[in-house]
Amino acid sequence: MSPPHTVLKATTAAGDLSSRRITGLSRVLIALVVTAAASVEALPLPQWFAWVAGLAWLPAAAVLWMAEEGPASRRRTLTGMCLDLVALLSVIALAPQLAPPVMLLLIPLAAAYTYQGGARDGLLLATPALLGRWLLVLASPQVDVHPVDEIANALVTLCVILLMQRALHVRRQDARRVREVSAASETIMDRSTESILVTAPDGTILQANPAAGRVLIDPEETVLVGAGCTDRLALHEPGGRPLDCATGCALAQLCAGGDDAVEVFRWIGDARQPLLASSVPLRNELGQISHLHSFRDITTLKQADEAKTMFLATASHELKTPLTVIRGFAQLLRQTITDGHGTAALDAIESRSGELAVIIDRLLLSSRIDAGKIDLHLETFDLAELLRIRLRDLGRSLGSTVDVQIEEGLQVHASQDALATVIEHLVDNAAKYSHHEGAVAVTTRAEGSDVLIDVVDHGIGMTPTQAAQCFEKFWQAEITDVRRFGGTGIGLYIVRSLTEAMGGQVMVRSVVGRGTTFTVRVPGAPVAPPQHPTEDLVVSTLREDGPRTAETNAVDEFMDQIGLRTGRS
Amino acid sequence: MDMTAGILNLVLGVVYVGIGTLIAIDLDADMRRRGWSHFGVSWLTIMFTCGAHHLVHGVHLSAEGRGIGPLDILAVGLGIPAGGIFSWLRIQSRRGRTGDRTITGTPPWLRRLAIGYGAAAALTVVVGVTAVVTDGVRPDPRLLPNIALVALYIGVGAVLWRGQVRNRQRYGAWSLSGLSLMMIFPTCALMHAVYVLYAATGQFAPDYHGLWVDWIGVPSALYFLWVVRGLERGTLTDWNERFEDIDITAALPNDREELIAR
Repeated sequence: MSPPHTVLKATTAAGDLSSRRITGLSRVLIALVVTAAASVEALPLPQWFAWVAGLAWLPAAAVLWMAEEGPASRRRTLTGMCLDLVALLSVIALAPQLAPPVMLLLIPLAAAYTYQGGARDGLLLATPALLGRWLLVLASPQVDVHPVDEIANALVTLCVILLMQRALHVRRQDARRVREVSAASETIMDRSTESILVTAPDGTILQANPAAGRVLIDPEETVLVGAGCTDRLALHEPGGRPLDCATGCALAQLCAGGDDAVEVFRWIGDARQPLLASSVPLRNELGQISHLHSFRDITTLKQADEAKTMFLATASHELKTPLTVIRGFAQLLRQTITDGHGTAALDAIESRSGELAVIIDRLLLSSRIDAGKIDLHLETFDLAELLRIRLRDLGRSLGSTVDVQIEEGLQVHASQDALATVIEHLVDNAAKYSHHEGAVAVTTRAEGSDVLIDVVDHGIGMTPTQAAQCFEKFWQAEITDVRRFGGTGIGLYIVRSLTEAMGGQVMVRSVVGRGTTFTVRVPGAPVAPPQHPTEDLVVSTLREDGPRTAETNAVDEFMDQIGLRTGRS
Repeated sequence: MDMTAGILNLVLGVVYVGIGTLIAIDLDADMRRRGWSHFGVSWLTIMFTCGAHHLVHGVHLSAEGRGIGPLDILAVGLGIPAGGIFSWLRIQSRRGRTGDRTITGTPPWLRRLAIGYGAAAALTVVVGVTAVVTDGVRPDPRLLPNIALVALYIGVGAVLWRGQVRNRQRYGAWSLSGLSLMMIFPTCALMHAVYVLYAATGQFAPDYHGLWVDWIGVPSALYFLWVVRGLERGTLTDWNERFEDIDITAALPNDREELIAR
């Protein structure tokens, strides 16, 4: 069933209140002018007419005007019209020479009736008035009749009525459009599941939809409209800083005029309510800026995401322990099995379990990033030395050619382990999507105070849309990529998260069929900690005692646990 | 006596015009921000037309040697306290002081005052009827604006009286500012009725100065009656009915009559 406000009101035959007021006021003013003029004998009318006008016509007109404040009444309109006709024709009958000035009074009155009830009402007044006037003037021997003047008077009256009718038609059309748009807007506001608020420049909440009432009203509060948004909503940035609207809308400043939503939260008692919020400025005709805000309660989404992260972390952790045992025993068996088939089987076990270990480590790292349990130890170190060690081992394990062009002497301020992980993921990704014959190139260069590391492949490449999405978690260019190239789709997510946590930035350029270039920009000199880290990260899975691949760590740990060392570094 | 009445009318005229000017200044400042105020504009026109009426009346009495009858003195005597209190409170309000005084409950002196006003009005009616019967009536159309003003001021007074009663029920107290404004209109109606009586019975002739001023007063009084009646019935919106961050408690003492007028 449609809500009541979507039903459009039709204009009644008796007109709306403003038009009825205008007609009533016109009648009063005409009665007042004629009565005043008659009372001072400014008009050639008998004294008794002045008394009748003052004691009957003027009071009756005033009563009808006042009565228009009540419900519309067609009978009242017709009564007023009869009163006007009788009074004006009486003036002409008593003083035919007053016919021209009476016509001047008739024209605005006819216009008012047209404005109230359309051309029909205007003609309903003007036609008998004109006919009565002609009859009375023709019947009067003292007055000369000028046909041209009479026709001109009638045409002017008719034109005024038609013009007023046209203006009324346009006005009603506009009013109807406004009502339709207004009704549609109200329906959108009322039925939207998004919480929508409009706030004044001083932060006062001017408008709130029902969804806002459901989501944003605290249990002990009752209304939003009229309250200040700083006090009533008490929003906080994700970092915990309260949003203060003392110097303008803080949420609008947080959104920075963009269309993207930002995450904020508020406290409801001891519970944290996460909200996805956006803000759009609304400028009125006076230049004042109010704001349209929308809020979505993402508590359930957050809980689901946390549950998923917890599940991934738990499952990865549980998978890692038996996997470590498998790999450890495979290496143990290598010391006793020497025949060809047995060695091949052990190679396969070690290779596949190694790949599985990489996946599990990535999932664990991703879970820790999501949970905010990662912190980085930023230090200044020689980039060339780090890359030489890492890329030598990596190229060997990938079985691909890695063309390295390292500029000597580049000092970066970052986390050695995190940057090594970033480069390893990018090189691994480049090798995976490259043609077998294509080489992966890694180059470094300084740009201003930053250092740029390019990882270039000549593989399948990406479309611009794919390039824009490639850093999203679990994203793969095609569903079939999982089968064609393997992987979990979280490598680039980890790359972006770690790079941004170091105060850097990662960019991508790609051409389909020609390859992809990932560029990592990291600070080249000691800088202040990043202003807006995506998360507080600690790569706790990476050892602090030297560059080692993640899969080696777990095996080494196990070997240490069972008292065996393989001698691999 | 005539000179005293003339000077009092002149003072009242100057005060009313002054109050009208202050209202105009306030409207000029606020209407740009808050929109058209029917009450403010109609009150302004009433102050200016009533002020002009009292100025003309004062000039007639003090400078042109016109005399006043006992009923005229009675009407002025009833109207001056109401107008004086109202004007004094408006000036107080303008100077940043409390523009109203509350009268808790209905004290005996207020009852006696009301009875006194009622008795005076009844006496005027009786004397007037007697004069009409004994002296006869010479109707003159120039008296029409005064007759219209009598009816209109009684109508305004009735609406304001209903507002006073509602406020008394709501707050348990009378507003001195509201009562004085409410009493101005019946006493003004009385003055115009006395004028009609004296003029119709030939005690003094209608004059054209007063005639034009009173004819201008008729649309003002009509507008004011329409406004207070519309505000009372809720068919008209004005400043206080719009959504704005207004401190109602701070507005109450100074603008009580606006609330009362609803």
